Amino acid sequence: MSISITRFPVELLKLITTSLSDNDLCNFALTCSIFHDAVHGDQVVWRNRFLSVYDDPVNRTSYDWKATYQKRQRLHKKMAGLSFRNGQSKEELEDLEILWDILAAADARGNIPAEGDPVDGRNFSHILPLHSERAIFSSHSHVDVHPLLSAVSLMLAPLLNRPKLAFIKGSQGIVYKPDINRVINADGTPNLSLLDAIARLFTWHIHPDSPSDLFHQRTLLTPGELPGFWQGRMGDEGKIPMKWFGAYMYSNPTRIITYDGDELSSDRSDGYLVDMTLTISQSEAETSGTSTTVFTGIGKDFDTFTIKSGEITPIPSPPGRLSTVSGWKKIEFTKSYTHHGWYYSGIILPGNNMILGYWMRSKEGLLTRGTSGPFIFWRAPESSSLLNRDNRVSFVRVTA
Amino acid sequence: MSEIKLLSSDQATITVQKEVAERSILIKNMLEDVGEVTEAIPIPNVNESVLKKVIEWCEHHKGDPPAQADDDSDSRKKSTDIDEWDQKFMQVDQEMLFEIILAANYLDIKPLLDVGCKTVANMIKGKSPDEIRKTFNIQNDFTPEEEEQIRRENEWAEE
Repeated sequence: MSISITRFPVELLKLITTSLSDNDLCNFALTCSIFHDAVHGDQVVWRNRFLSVYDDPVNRTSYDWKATYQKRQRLHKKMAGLSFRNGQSKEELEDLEILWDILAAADARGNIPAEGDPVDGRNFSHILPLHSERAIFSSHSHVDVHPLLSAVSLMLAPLLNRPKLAFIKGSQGIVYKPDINRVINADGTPNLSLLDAIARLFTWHIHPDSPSDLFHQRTLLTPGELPGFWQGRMGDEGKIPMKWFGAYMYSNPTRIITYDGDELSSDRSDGYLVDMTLTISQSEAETSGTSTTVFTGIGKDFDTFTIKSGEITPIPSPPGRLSTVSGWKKIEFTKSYTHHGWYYSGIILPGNNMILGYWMRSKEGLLTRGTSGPFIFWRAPESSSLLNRDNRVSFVRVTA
Repeated sequence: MSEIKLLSSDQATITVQKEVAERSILIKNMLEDVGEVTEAIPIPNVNESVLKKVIEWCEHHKGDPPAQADDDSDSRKKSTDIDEWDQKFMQVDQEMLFEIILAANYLDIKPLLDVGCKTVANMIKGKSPDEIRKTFNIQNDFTPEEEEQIRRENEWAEE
């Protein structure tokens, strides 16, 4: 009597496949109908393979492990050479949908990718090859860009930890365009292409190695204090962080940087990074169905300021594939100095890791040159402070 | 050191240390259920030569830390490494290899089952479907149309 492997219980055949590569698995299934059925008869083999290399999906109910795994693995193979024109073609759109799903489920530990320091997490390990010059950041043109491309680019902004001038190509033109820029679309959803442009511009602007005219205070930022990813999952119902660092610029469409020639001019900024600590004083005040969070705060840039009339309100997610992630929020507050104040209006990204928007003279005020501009805040480690380091304090103007 | 007796399918009685036999979760649970036993425990699915081989493995691995009970993170580990002793242990003919795997499955000895399955996987790696058929003496039971259909299903993994 001789035993044939084809008489094995199907569970054992499935167990054997866990040690096979994708290619070997395909050849295995092509051997005979019994092996084929062991692989393709149900989702067990695929679920195991999926979970051995990817984070759990956001919703496991009736999840198509096989189709999703195969799509992702196909994308994974070409990840390093991936580039997007505007995300509008069928092929680009398919890749972007997969990328978005990987990002939406990516379980990050909130760490910041310092150079040579890989991002934690299974899904992030697949996205890491995008961290190259050919990545999506350098290629897209900002003209007629599909919202999925803007969203993927926006969420991956923390990967831009090494300033490449080409990554900001086109973003200044969008960010500095006066009067028409609104971070929220008419339908109440976030303006993704604008947010993406602001994120890219600032990630370059605040980087220690960039030639921006932001004060050298930014050179004192440690890798862990640069803009980073969300903690846990992007769409998790997380707390609003208390501690933020920020930067702002003056809108000035006449001072757009030329980066193709040698004429690398500086960018307009106020020179200081911002250190802001929020106090959430009232949460989930139910008013006509929407829950608004109220907050105050304190902070310092060139001078100390207080945060007044702070309000955070959930806004609808963009439609289509992007609706799989909720947690977009509108944020408004007044940054008040002793004798004057500025109105800030922006969007908190679903991962609560960044706030992007515009500051201006008053809530009703238009975005006008000299009295308005874009801003960024990014979640800072709670123990960090821009104030309590001697070499930073020396920048701060002393008010008598 | 207490000893117990096992009775193979071909009626051979094998005496083994209780601690060694308890690498088998099946035997361990059985002993817990019945308490003290003096008669040989029948192992109806495993013959003497295979049972001796399995016991040899259990002897060598008796000091191993207990396997993690289906820990999620553990099942995700996809290591194809096989320990050197185990590799030598698995250098047997195909018939014996399969017998060991089936016995490990029946006796519920997870680490031995894993080593056995990895050994089989290593015999598949890098081979074409035809080479796999030759290795295991399997008939191709697909029609040419079915084969073509499966090749299309496999396109996602092509290099």
